[in-house]
Amino acid sequence: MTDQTFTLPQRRSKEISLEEAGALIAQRKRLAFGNEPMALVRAALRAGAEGLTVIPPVTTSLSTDLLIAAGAVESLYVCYIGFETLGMAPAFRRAAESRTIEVVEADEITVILGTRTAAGGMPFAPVANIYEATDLPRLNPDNLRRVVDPFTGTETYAIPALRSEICLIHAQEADIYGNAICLGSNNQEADKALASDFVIVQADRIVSTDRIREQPYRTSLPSNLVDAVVHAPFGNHPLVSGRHYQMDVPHVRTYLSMVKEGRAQEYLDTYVYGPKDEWAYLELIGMHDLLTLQRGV
Amino acid sequence: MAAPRIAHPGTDDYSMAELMAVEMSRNLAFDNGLTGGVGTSATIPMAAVRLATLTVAPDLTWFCGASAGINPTFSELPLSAHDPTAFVGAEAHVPMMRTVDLGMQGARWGFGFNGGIQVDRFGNCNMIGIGPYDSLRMRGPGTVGVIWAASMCHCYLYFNHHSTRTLVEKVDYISSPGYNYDGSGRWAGLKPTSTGPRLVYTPLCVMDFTEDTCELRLRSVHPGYTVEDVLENSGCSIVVPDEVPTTAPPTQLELMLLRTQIDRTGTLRDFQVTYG
Repeated sequence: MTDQTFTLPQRRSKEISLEEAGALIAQRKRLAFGNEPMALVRAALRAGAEGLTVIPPVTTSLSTDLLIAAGAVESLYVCYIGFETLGMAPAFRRAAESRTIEVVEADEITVILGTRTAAGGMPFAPVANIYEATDLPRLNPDNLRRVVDPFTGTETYAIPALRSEICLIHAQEADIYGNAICLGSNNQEADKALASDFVIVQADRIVSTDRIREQPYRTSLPSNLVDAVVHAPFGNHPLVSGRHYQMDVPHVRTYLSMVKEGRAQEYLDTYVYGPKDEWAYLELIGMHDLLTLQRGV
Repeated sequence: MAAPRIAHPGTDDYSMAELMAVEMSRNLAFDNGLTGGVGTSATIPMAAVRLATLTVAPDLTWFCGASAGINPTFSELPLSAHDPTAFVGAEAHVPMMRTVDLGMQGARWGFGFNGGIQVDRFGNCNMIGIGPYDSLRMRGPGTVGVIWAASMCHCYLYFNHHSTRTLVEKVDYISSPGYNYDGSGRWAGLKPTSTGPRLVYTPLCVMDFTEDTCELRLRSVHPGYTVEDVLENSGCSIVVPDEVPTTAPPTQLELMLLRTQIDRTGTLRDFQVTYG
């Protein structure tokens, strides 16, 4: 044995560039967000994504509104889209009121349980005694249908499994194999990933697998659920990234007022299409503002 | 359309948002021992629930919205439960799927704070939009979790704006169910343990519902305003009892706890609630 040399096979890295990720997104139509991965959204727009059906997390703000502002969304599952106390989602409002996007009138059950159902390979999920006194069955007849419980004979509503062709997720840390740590959210990511054909994670930091192994209970997405990893430092700007940086509130307010004033294209030209890549975007925002957002997290 | 006016309690000792939080907290004595939660745009309810756990409801368990924290103990009130700092000092982290489980089974699901772009005099709320559905004049943000009003024991409604456009005779769409328009009480077909909205908080007043027909009834008017102010700024009829008290101002203890244990950075002192 001593005179033989062995070469062990290397584990395959799943890291790709943000530009490659953008191109992969632009090839697909049915898109789910696990949270609000802004760098991937900007990359998708730079790559010419269009005609998308978007399944957001139960609350979404800029990730979805920016896609709508750019005219890239054909259909949207609406659970909650808005900026809470900062205001309504302006591009969504305009597009929905002018009927340039199709709205699927959803809610937390449709999105979470529909995703869970798809994640578990089930065809549909029954929902009893909740939709009955609301207008949702009337407004969402394609997704809320009556079925008979085969065990009791009583009627309930059923919602379909919600699968996607591609799922985009922001993580604070990931290794190059796809093990990802998502902080500061409520764990919609794993079901969204399981319910999708192809999963891309953008990570503020690429860490070693040894670092992942230090605390395996913190791993939100094990590598087998992830197809591609993108290094995207400050990749959720101007939104929040738990324990890494705060929301850039002045920037978000600028976006809101520009879109309300009919200047969405100007915002897109300045912050999405203008910078040649995400590094140029970060330089445009500037080191001073970015590093200041790390205070107090 | 006149611009909305900022609601002011007629004193600079406390803000109207602080008064709303304090009054909400007092009424959570009813919920001691139950589990409840807040959702989007819940700056005032977040402070209220946390204050209640320090005062009248030490055995209350609460779920802090998108942060997914159970019983957080932040001392710097964030604007949104979506802010990861809303999770500070929590006892547990609950995945969204578990929250849906709570709603789907109904048991162990005591109360929640709900709102909307419209509420009507039977406590039904609308998050969907205003106008015919194929040509909405105003598209709302979506139903989100207010649907759970159909499963939780009861809910509280709150609005950061009080006007003829937000308080209406009948909502355009029902996102969260209140009571039947025929005066018979709770809508049919919901979880039998779900009894409906208890109280409604606005920048001008607190309302409850009549025992027999479940219609909106004035319960107290905030300092600085009158019964007439409430009625003039409402687009629906409201039952007005012979005696309508003024909402009790925050006590020194309530204000001290709010400002030193919950909201040290003064989020609610600067938070504007409006009417008209």
